[in-house]
Amino acid sequence: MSAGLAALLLGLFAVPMVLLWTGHRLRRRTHFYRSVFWGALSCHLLASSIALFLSMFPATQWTTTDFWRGFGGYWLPVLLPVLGAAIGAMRASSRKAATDRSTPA
Amino acid sequence: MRNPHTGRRRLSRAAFYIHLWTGVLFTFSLIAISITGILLNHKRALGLMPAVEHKPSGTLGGALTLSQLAEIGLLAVPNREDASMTGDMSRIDRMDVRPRNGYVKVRLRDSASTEVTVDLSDGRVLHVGPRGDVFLERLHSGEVFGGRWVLLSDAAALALVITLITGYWLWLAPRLFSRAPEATISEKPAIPSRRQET
Repeated sequence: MSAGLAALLLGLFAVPMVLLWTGHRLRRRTHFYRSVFWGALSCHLLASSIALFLSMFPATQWTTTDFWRGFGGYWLPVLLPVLGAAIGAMRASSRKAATDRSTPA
Repeated sequence: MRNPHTGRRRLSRAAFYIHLWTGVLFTFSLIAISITGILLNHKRALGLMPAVEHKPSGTLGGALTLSQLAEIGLLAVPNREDASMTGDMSRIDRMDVRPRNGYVKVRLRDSASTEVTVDLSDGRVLHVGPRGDVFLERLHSGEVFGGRWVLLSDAAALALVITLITGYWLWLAPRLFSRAPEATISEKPAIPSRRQET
């Protein structure tokens, strides 16, 4: 199994499984946790849609030289949720910092 | 004595979780299979498959031999990487003879699945172009990742069946057993409410 194919399987099954697992009892979680979850979920949806589009348009065989198509189709559904989670974490942290500053001591 | 309501409740709860997990895990596989299926149904209209209008120019008995037709097909698409390989028969994936239309389709094993349409009688090249539907077919079946990956589409099909059955049960069960007595407070509800689960 190639690395690209392993990445595809991770993006197709492992990432949604993790998201579904982490989404359990979400309302009871902290703001930071929820922000990370929503960042990862929205980016996974975006990445999967891009991968779906790239896999069918244009309809020719994927090749090793076809970097962007391979990257978008195989790697993006794994990498983009991680990026989304990081963005969510940063947003939550910056919001918390802003709230702390505005709250009088 | 075993309470029948508890058994049904457990079944509904299991159906809910099976429905949820299979639904989420196979969403994109099923979307891909559905979209490729729709595209394949309309492959002619979408231009994925070349439509060559042609009438037979002679009888099938007077047609050129398969090897001659194969050679014509190969010469119509030169091998860009190695010119000496142009006439290599291993480049051919299949030959589809259409006596009613008077042509043969010579499909090559290249990345675009190039197809050459050749007249059976005089060997004229009628059309040369890629077959877009071949890739879609292989993506639809999962074969695009390798021979054994058809199991992936099998798993997605099985997941769809399971999701449909569990979804049907989740819809039907409350209607079927609506006369059943209300659960006591200590019992878990059959299907977790949104507030409880999220």
